[in-house]
Amino acid sequence: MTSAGSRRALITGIGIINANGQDTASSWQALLDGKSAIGPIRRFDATGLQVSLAAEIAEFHPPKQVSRRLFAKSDRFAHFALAATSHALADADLDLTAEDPFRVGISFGNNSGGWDICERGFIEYYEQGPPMINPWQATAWFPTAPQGFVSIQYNVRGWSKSFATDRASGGSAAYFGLRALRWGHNDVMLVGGAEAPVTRLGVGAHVSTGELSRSTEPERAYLPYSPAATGLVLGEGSAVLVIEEAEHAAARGARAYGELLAVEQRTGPPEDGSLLEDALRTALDQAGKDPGEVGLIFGEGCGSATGDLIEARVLDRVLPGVPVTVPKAAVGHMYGASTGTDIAFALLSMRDGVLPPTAGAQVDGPNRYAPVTVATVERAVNTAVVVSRSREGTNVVTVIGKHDNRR
Amino acid sequence: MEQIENDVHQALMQILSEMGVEPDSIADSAMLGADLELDSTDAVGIGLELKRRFNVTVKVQVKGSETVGDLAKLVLAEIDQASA
Repeated sequence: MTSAGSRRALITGIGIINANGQDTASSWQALLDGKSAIGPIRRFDATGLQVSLAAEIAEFHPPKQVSRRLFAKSDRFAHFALAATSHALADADLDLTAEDPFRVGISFGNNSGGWDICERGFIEYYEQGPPMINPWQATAWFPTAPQGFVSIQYNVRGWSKSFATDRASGGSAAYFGLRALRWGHNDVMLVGGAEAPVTRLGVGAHVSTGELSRSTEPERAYLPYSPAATGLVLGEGSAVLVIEEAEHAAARGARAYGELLAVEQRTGPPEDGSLLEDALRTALDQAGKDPGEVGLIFGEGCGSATGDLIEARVLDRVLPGVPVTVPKAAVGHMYGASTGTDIAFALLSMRDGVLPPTAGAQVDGPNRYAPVTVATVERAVNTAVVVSRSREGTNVVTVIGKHDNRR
Repeated sequence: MEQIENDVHQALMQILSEMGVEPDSIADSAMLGADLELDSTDAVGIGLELKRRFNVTVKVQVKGSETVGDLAKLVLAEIDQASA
């Protein structure tokens, strides 16, 4: 019997879909090129919403491996999750039909649910009358739908959960995803999340949080840690990581991008920076890493003056001078999909030995509260930290280490 | 009458296809449950689409051996009754 503490979690597959690309390679290259996908909302008429920008996936192309039947009865956010899972499993070269389905699980984050199908359903209902209620609306809308549809598609039957903790939804998914392996529930976890909030109602609901930038200038709308910040910009997409218990990965000769060393979560008053600091110090301690070993931080960087300042002060105290990068400035904040996306980019930074730029950082880089990356820098990264924080005080810190058998 | 039969067949083909059923598998003899693997929620969805298109109320059965052809006959009978 393997003790919980010795069960190591290797990341053997990456599947990411966002407004900068519908596969890992294109999305990563766009990030390195400093390309931002933020632009005027085109999927619907945003007149009167106070917010006019988003990072949209213009034309979604689902992979042919994903069941058309499941697509027809599910929402856009589940479509992204199904596609990202398909990419991640292919990348990991993992055939789930050969696995014990009760030892495979899912840990996904989602904040908004599926409003695309709901809005269409509401219109049908109000225009055509009471019997015309889309029969799939209830199961398609629910925030656990990506977990459900991925479970059906891949016959996943092990311990699985979905988490809705605002911007930290994906962080909470990583926290429990790692524990599902450590606790011995499963040997394989699909960890990540999905988000598709760019609908008229979805954006309208987000406007009421006060967190969205009302800027009409795409290049200045999302400026993490900047005194000129005006909020965040919504993105959409999914990230799914295949995380395997190390012996399981070794037994099938799997290559690993890296190791999920620690994930810590602390929840309390949002203005209390000590919770983030405790999560960060504890995660580093559990990962067996000194602060000096951390080469890159993927920050929350939500673009709010107080939130960013609290985060930047903690980072400066625990990890002074370590470069901070925020892919969200390029692909928008994807809430449930953000942490998975950041972990994926962290693994690619380690693989390629580069620090990706923060889109738009040229605008006022030197003046920011945190040392944000401005351009692509070639530099070896062996340990990376991903920070995820919610509006109401959930703080999640993930520590990832390099693993050398990938290429 | 032939025209309406064609319309119903085409509508069923389109409804099932939009639900993700492979067009090649949609034949008159295909059983809705056993062959096309439709469930009770799918049955509600098909019923709503038939109501939208032909203004008829048909109870779509997926548990027994009802086929696409049987369903087409049911729809035609309902249309017939409504216009009588």
